[in-house]
Amino acid sequence: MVAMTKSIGEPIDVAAMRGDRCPDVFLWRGDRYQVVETGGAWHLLGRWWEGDGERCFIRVLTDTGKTFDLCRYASTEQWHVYRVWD
Amino acid sequence: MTFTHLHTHSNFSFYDGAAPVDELVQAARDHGMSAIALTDHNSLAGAVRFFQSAIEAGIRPIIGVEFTVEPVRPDLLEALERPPHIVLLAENNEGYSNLCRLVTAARLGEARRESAFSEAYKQVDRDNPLLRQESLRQHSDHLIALTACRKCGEIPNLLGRKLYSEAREVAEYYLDLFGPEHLFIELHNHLLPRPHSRLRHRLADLAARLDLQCIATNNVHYVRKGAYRLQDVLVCMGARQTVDEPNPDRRPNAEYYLKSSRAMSELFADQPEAVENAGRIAERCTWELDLETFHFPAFDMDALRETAGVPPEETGSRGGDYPLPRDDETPRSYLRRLCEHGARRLYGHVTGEVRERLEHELAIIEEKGLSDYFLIVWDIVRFAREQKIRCTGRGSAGDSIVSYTLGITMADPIANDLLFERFLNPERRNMPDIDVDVDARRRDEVTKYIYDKYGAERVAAVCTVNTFRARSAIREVGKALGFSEEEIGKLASVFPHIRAADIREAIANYPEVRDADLNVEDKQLLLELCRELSGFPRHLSVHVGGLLIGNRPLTEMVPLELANKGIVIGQFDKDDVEALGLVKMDILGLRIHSAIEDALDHIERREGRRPDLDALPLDDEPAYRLLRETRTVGLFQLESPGQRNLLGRTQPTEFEDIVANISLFRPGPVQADMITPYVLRKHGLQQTTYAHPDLQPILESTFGVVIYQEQVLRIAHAIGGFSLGEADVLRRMMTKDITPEDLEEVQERFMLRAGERGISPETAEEIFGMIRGFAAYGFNKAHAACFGKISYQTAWLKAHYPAEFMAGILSNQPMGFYPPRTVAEDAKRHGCGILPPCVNRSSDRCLVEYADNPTGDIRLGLWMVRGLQQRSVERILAERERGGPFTSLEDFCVRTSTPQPAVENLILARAFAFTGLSVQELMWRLGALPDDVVADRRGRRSSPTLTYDETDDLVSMLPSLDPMTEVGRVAADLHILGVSTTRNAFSFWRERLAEMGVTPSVKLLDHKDGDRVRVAGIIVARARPPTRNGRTAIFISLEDEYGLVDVAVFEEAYERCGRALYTSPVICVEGKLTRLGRLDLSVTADNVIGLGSWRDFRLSPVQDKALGGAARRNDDVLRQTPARGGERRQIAYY
Repeated sequence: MVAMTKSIGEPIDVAAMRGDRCPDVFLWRGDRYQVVETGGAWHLLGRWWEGDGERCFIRVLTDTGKTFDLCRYASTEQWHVYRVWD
Repeated sequence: MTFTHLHTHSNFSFYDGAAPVDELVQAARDHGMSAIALTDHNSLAGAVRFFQSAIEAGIRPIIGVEFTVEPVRPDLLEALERPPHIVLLAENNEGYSNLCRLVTAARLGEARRESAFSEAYKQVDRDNPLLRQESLRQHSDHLIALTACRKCGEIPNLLGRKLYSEAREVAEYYLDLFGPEHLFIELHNHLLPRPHSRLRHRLADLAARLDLQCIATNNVHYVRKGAYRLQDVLVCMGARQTVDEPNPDRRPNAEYYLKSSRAMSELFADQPEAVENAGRIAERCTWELDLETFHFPAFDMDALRETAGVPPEETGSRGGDYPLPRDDETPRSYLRRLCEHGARRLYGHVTGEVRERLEHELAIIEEKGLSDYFLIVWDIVRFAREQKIRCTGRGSAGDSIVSYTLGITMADPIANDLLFERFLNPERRNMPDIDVDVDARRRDEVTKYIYDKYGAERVAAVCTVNTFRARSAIREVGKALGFSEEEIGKLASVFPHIRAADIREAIANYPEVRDADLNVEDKQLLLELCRELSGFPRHLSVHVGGLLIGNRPLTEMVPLELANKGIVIGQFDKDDVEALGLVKMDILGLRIHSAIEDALDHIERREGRRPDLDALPLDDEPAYRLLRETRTVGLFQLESPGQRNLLGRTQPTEFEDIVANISLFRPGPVQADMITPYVLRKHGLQQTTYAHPDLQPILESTFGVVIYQEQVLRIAHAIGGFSLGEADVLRRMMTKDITPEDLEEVQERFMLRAGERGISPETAEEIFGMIRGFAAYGFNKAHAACFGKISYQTAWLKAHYPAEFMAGILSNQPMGFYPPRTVAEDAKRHGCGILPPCVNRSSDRCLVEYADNPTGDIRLGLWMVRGLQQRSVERILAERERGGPFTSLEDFCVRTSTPQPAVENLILARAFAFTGLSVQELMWRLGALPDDVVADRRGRRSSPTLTYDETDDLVSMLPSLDPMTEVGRVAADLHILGVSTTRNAFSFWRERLAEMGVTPSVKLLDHKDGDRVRVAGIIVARARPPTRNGRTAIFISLEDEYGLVDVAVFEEAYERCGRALYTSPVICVEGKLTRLGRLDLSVTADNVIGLGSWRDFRLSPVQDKALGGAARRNDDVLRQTPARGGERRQIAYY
């Protein structure tokens, strides 16, 4: 059974990147996470007519065993946690 | 091998694709791709421009179509939610022909096999084309099939729903149909979340099981990523939804753009062969449009012989006066004989210059293999003439003596000094373009003849690509963005008819827009999207005149679809058709021909004979006087405000002047101010000089001013020693944006040859400069002469038969520059009364009556009565014919079942004046009559028998009401008929305008040049021609009680009071009077004051009070009276 937590909009600090599209090490709620594997990446549009931009998502498996869906707006560098799977 | 995009939509995928064709091609080239495909939805409308654009960019065009197709498993349609798609690419030209056939099949269904005039077309669902599997099976050769996108492809859709075996069954079906070399499983990676991202792998699994290849595409819908907004809005617009409403057809992200090869390789890093396959397929496709060959049918001389042998009563023709083809005669020799026959009729001989010219033209026509083409056009014109359908050729065809002697054109090319090379240039490979104007009412008869003669499958109408402009873009984008109807309506209506790309400029600079208080701050996104949408095709419609005639079934070369009005059109517009070398004939409906025919009918009815207009000598003084006095309302090509102004200045005395007038009033000559020297020299106020004596014979008739393209050719010929064909090439180069290098080269050659002829370099340079300056502005004299002939005929008719002519003009509205109101007032000024319609005397069209006026009074036709449908008019006329005149209102209602609102309008228009009852009495009666006498809105009566009782209280108890006021009478006329049958509406304003110090138009003649005046009237025509310096100039015709006055509004005044010009129908203008000739009057505006709306115009303040009083009194009376239906409002109001 997989439980799911939504954490939309919680920013994370990215300590290192894997290539230019995915965080490699990030800090969330005081804990440090090392990405060990990346899953799918996807893009979704928001309400662009209200100024909402495209968001880029990526699913990552971390060294803690937790899987995160991370996201950022295409126009910024700020990453957020979108969902956590544990 | 580079990647190739094989699934690509342009903006010809209406309301889905957001990529202009040329930008797609350009982007592919910029990405270093060697090929690109175009695959619009059920359409090849972008194919020709795509091909041309790709060839120009040096990359390989691949043509395809994404079809909506009947599902292989129709039983699963509900699960699929919609008919699936399949992408088909043409492997070669045969594949292209099959695409054309399939588009036609999808668009026209079974109806494609029917005659163009068949009822079968009513069954066609224009909005939902569907390709049947049966059609696909018939035409699947040389096509490469791709399985389309995740939602729309039948295979991916079924797989996405986990219907694995069904998906496999569909794949096997297509495998069987196309074979393993021609079917590819299409893979997308649009960076979508799961489960969509998994689909790609399921598709690849299926492909592996069936031993099929996969191919990567991006299902491109726009060129650059940023265009996703426009694409999203387009989908919303197409669905008539707002962006806030969910719609499964909207794309979830912005990944549907034209990506680079590298980006595609990265997206398909785990499936590299799918990317490579795209490049491999591209290399297999070798489609090429054949742009070199003319495709037109051979002229069928046997058919002509057979038709001619049949007695006229069977063919409906009266038999022509032309020689028939001899047995085994070739088209060449038959064309020659027809021309010689025509020459003898027109010139009385075939010798000297006539013979020489004929031989010259026939030799070129024969060499170009165009004899059949001329015979085809001749045959159409022959048919029209035999059916007594008025018809004349226009355009550069008038430059040819072959056209003239065949009876296609009416102006003598020798007498008018016209040049064949301007029409058909031996130096260029071009298809001649012959346009024929026919009586607008009878155009269908001519097109039907063409369809019948060449077969429905070889004839189709050319399409016009309608594009988004400012207003349409604002309306549709605004709606999709959720703005209210009111807001959108307000915004859209302030813009003139400009490109959507110019909206911002208009807001900044056009006073009528700038001062309209638009509140655009919250509409920036709307305006930005409108700009992006500018020029996008919106839909295809029927071209006004163009017909395609093929030498084989058109569906092999041209995809067909059904336009509105049930007409089959090719998906190619006129430029496409020309590029393809298809024969296009423009058969244009010309309303002036209908008006002339009507006038001739009236004259024949009066005098028992019909003037032969084509045989009129061209020297009729009364006709020229009419032109000089600028009394030209209704005249063909000579009635616009600017043209009337020009007539006043040029003071025409001969046909050549008419031709010059038509040619001079064009944007080019106006911009280059060629008019002033022409006018001054014509009246001897400036000396005419020639740079070289050889120019004199060429330019003498136009006083040294180069007006005609033919003159440019002659100058290049006489001075530069160019052949006439070369000269025409030179002229064409100069009308386009010539590069400095080309210009230098041409000039060098010109100078050299001029030098060989002993012309000094200075003179040669001056003359070259003259050609260069005027080549772009010159007008085709042949066209002006063809039109001028009609202009002269209309002038002659108006001068000698004003009532008959103006009745013809009124019957064929809308046409020309002026509303019917202005035409009627002009008729009154020419001595013709305007009589109200009468159910016993009027026909559908206007008639002329002579009982009270030898000039003739115009009896308005029933067609002019607002709200009276055509079928009601037909029923009234048929019933009158059958049962004799109507004896009363009741008799009329019972016998015709005309709907009540239309009867009300007939009463108000005084069509029952013969009963001797007043309008009020008639309205009262109508309201009081029972339902079995008066038909309802839909023309139904409760019982077909006449049962009303004369003693019915309601019918007889008409209360005492105030009679209709004079102003009420005029207001009712204008509202219902569009013209006043009594006083000029402006006469009610007389006192008010006098108080304002306004000079009536007739009194302007008492003023001198430079006087300050005030004029006022209703705006009847407004023109905004381009000017030399790019500054605004607006020419307006104002109509007051006495006539027209022309007003010019220039930049400065426009900046200050432009808004009044566009918001107030009635205006007062203060300004300076300009008088150039005796009758040439115009006012240059300093100030424009809006005097109010149409309603204020109808009821001037004084009269409004009187009318209001009467209306209130009548209303009071009626309130106390038992009345029914709508009669109370009507009686009270008027």
